[in-house]
Amino acid sequence: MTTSAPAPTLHQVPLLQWHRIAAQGAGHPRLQELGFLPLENVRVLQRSWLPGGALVVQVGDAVFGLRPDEAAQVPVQGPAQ
Amino acid sequence: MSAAPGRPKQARAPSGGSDVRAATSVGAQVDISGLAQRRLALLGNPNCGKTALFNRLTGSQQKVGNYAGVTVELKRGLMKTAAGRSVTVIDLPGTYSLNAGSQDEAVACGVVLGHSLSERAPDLTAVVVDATRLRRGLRLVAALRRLQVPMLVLLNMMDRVRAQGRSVDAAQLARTLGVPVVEATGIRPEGTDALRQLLDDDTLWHQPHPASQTPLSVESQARADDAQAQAWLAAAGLDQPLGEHAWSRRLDRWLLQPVVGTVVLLALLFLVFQAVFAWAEWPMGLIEDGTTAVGEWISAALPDGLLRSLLVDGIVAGVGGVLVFLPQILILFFFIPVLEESGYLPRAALLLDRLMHAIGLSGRAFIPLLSSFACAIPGIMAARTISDRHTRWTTVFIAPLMTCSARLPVYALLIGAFIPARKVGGLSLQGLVLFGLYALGILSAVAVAWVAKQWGRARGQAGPLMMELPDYHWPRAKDVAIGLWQRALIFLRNVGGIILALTVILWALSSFPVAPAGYTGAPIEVSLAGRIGHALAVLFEPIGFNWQIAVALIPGLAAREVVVSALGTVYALSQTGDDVGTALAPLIAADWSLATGLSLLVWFVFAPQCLATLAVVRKESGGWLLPVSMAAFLFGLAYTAAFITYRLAAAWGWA
Repeated sequence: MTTSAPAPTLHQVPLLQWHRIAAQGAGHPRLQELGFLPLENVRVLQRSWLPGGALVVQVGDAVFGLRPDEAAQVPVQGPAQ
Repeated sequence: MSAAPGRPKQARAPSGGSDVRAATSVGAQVDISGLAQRRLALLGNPNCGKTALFNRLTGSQQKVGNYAGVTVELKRGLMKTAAGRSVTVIDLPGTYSLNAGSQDEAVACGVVLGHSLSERAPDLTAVVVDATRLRRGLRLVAALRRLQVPMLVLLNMMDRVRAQGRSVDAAQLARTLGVPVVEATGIRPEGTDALRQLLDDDTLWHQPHPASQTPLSVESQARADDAQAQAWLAAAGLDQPLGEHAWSRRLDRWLLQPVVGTVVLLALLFLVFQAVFAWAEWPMGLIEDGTTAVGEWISAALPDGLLRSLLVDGIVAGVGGVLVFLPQILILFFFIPVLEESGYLPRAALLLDRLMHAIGLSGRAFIPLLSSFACAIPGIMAARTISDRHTRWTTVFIAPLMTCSARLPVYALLIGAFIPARKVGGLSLQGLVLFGLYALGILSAVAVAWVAKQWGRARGQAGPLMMELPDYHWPRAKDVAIGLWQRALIFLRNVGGIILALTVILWALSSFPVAPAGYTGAPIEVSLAGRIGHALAVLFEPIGFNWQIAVALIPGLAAREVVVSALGTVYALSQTGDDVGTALAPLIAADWSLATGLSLLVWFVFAPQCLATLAVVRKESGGWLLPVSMAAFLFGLAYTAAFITYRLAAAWGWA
């Protein structure tokens, strides 16, 4: 199901599943500086239950809190192995 | 675009033991640089252990926190190299890149690149790299290399790498990077020996400085620097990722879980405030008894006269009244650094981001605002880590509405005097009132932020969150103890300095001119302070303040808690005959109406009178507009709220 249909951004990907950031990298320059770079491994560790609440996101071995609109600026390829 | 690894000029890379020793002996002969102090800057990612390293190098003790932005001001210290030469070390705020995202990062980048107006470019920059996060640290190294900034690399957190059974070969890395690399840690005494030896190498200090560069677009810089970092790691055989901090991930699964996390956060905040009041009771009782005993002893030992009046009515009544609150302040200042160093605070900020976002702030504002419960000054300085201007200044503006610890003495005095010590639904009424005062401050802050949001909406939306959640670690008892000790010293220095001075001045103003012989009222009525108070009372009469309160508010401008000592002195001198020497609380309880007591309590929720806070706001904003409008706004708010409270209470029949 979700695994066969890769989600386009980090905002939508299933919880805990590793993905790779798409080749163009994150849309926001600051996100790139924080390490959201092309082909980097990312996953969502936690989602808020409130609409608009922040996501907990792991990129490589660092963990960040991102708002939904920020996570939506991180395009991802299909699930990584 | 990025420089090839190992450019010839910097290929010399002393890092192993023998290289360093050779370099030391050469450096020692050529030490003629006593004229200009050599300057070393410490640069690194947030949470890479830079500040602990700085403490170890310079011996100066300061705050070490596990949260981005603890180092909000430049800190300087002196260190000695192995050969005994002095070097100035500058501790810079943590940064992810050389493109500043917030003001504290701008400070770091500006200094290293020589753009800072207040700080000359350092002779040498030491990039502190967390060995468990090599790639990220090396991105910063790559950026500095691209700009040809003279540097060396310090590998920190190697103990964590070893704990995983891995290693990082510093010599190999140095050859690859073309700059010196040494291991350094702040948590062991011998952890900085290699660096101290390396700094005796003179050639390190005499490298050409870069000319100004035209910057690339931020995005291509980030990619180019990362590509360089990865190339270096591959070349040094270090491109195997380390295992992640499993303990932190497991803890986060619970602490960041929406429901469990929120419950834990609320429980923690409750515990903090509970502790401030419950744990402090016993030591406060001791200090109170001690003050009373000293006062009685002096009264017995000295004949009635000016000296006895100065000591008992002025100093003991004034200073003792403030000293009582030391335990509460220490307890508050115990919890905040513990939460900060453990790495929990950014998690709390994350959980609260949704709420804060709704009022136009960001979760990042949580740390400055929490600090403001201790004191607004560190809170306002911590707001520098907020990159968005609107969010930052709104945070600064509402920081004084968080009930700071200096207001506690005032609340405690007034609540003790006016609120009966009985239970309501199993809870102490006094505690509930106190909670209500804190809540009133927070609610008004929310309202102000919300209004500011409506105002600022035209200028775009609130700033980004994008906040790192560092690995958890146990706060070190020594760091916490040092922090507490410094806090106690600052408080005692204030008590012994400004509070004592103001108390004596107020005592003098309240005692002179001396009442003429045969005057039947309290002598303070004819004194200078009495007359000023009577003049000011016209302004404060509508909100129920009498002239004694008006007098006490003036020295309270220096620090809010001084109001308690001022009231102590004014009332001690207002007594006639047998009343002298009675504790302050029952005195004001008998003298003021309940409406006045409540009005003064509400006044202090907004109380604008803290010159130190206004001075910091002026410094931070670089102009008078913000501090002046803040003082006017808070005064208006305090006056209005106290007026409403007084009138309502009076209508209720409590006047």
